Amino acid sequence: MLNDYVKIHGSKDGLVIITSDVSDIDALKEKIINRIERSLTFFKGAQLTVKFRNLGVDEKSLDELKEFVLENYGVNVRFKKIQERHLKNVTSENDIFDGLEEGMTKFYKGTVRSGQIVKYYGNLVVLGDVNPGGIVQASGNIIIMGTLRGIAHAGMSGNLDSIIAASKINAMQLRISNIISRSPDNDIEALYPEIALVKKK
Amino acid sequence: MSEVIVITSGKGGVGKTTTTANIGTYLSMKGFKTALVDTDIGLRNLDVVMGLENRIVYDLVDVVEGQCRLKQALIKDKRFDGLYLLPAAQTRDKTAVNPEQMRAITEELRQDFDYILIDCPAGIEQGFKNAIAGADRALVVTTPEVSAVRDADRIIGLLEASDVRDHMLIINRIKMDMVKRGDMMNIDDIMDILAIDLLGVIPDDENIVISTNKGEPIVVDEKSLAGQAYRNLTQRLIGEDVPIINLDTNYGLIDRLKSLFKISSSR
Repeated sequence: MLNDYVKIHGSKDGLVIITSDVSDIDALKEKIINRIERSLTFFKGAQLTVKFRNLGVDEKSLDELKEFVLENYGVNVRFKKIQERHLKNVTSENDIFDGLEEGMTKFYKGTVRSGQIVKYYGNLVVLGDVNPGGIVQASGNIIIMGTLRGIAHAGMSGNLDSIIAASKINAMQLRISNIISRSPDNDIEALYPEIALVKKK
Repeated sequence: MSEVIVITSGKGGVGKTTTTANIGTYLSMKGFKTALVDTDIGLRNLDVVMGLENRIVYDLVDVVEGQCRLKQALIKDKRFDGLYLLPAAQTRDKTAVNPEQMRAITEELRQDFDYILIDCPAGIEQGFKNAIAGADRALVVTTPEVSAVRDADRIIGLLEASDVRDHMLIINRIKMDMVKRGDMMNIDDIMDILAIDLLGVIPDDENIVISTNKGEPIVVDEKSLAGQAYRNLTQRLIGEDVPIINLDTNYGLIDRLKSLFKISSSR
C-alpha cells in the first residue's frame, strides 16, 4: 500500500475519508473500522464518504463492507472512486480522454510560436496566440484565448466529441481526432470567436 | 555597466549586418565604447559593410584557438572614436566555435566596452547558438514579408527557450507606399503576430545599398531618412525617450522631410 494515511474532512458529502490506493478489501475494512472506533460517538449516525483509488476491489465486497459498517457502528458509508486521471497529471498516450466535461486541464500562458509544440493529455487552454507553424495538441478540448493561426489538434487520442475554440480562428489546419480540415484558400479574416467541432460522427 | 546585444532574424538578407553596423556606429558617435562582433564565420560581411575589410589580421577563430589575444584581433575604426570590430574567420565554418567560447569572449569584452553588438548569422543552427550564448538582449530584425515574419517568430521562440527574454523588434525595409496600397504587410499586422515590443521601423532606402557598398554606415548621413530612423532607434535602445518616426503619412516627400527636420531640430 502506497499510503496508509487516512485523511478526514467535512464537506457537503458529510464526513469524507480520503485514502489512497486500495487493492485489498480487508485492508480497507480495517482502516475504516480503525478510524470509526477511535471516535465512535463522533461518527454515530453520520454520513461517511470514503474516497479511494480502486485497484481491483469488486463492487460486491464493497457492498458487504457497507452493510457491515452500518450494522455494527450505525454509520452509513458511501464509496467514491477517485479516477486515475484526477490523481495523475495526464492520461496515458493511447487512452481516449473522457474528461471533456470535467477533467485535467493545462493552462499555457504565452504565445505558441513557429516551431513550438504544446502537447497535453487532457484539456488545453492557451492564454495567448498560436502563431503560424506553432502546434497545440490535446487529448481533450482546446481553448485558445487569442488568435489561432497555427495547427490545433484536439482529441488526438481519438475523441471525436472534443472541440477547438478560439477568439479568432485563422488556423492553418484544424484536427479533431483523425479528422483533418484546412482553412479555405480565400483569405477571410476571422472577426469573432468560433468553435470547431465534428458535425457528423 | 555593459550590455551584450545580439542582432538576429532567422531569415537571411533582412538587414542584420546593416543594422549592427549602423547601431554600432551611432552608439560610438554618442560616446559609448562599442564592440561589433561578427559571428557569421565563413560568410563574413560586417567588415565589408564597415569598410574595414583590408585591415583584418586576426579574427574570432584565432582568438578562440589562442593564436592571438583578443585585443590584437579587435580592429579600431579610425573614423569613429571608441568603435571596434571583431571580425569572423572566412576560411572556417560555424563549428570552429562553441557557445562556451563565445560566452568567454563576450565576458572579456564586457570589461572594456559599454556595448557589445553581436551580428548573428541566418539560420537556427550552431552559428545562431554561438551568437546568442553570451547575450543579455536581442534585437530581432524582420522585413514586412510573410516568410521573414514567420522566421522571426521562430527565432523569438528559440530566444525565449534559451532564456534571452529581453527582446525587441526592428522592422526593416518597409515601403509605406506599398503598405498604403495594401500590397505589403503593415506594422500592425506584424506586431499582431509577433507580439513583442517594437524598437523601430526602418524605411526602404536606396542609399543603404550605396552606403553598404562604400563601407560607410548610413547613420552618418544627416539627410537620409533611413539614417534618421537608425539614429532614432539607437536612441531608444539606450533608453532615451524618442518617438518612433512616423512614416505612415499621407504627405509627399517634402512634407516628410519637413517633419523629419522637426524631429532632428528638437533633439
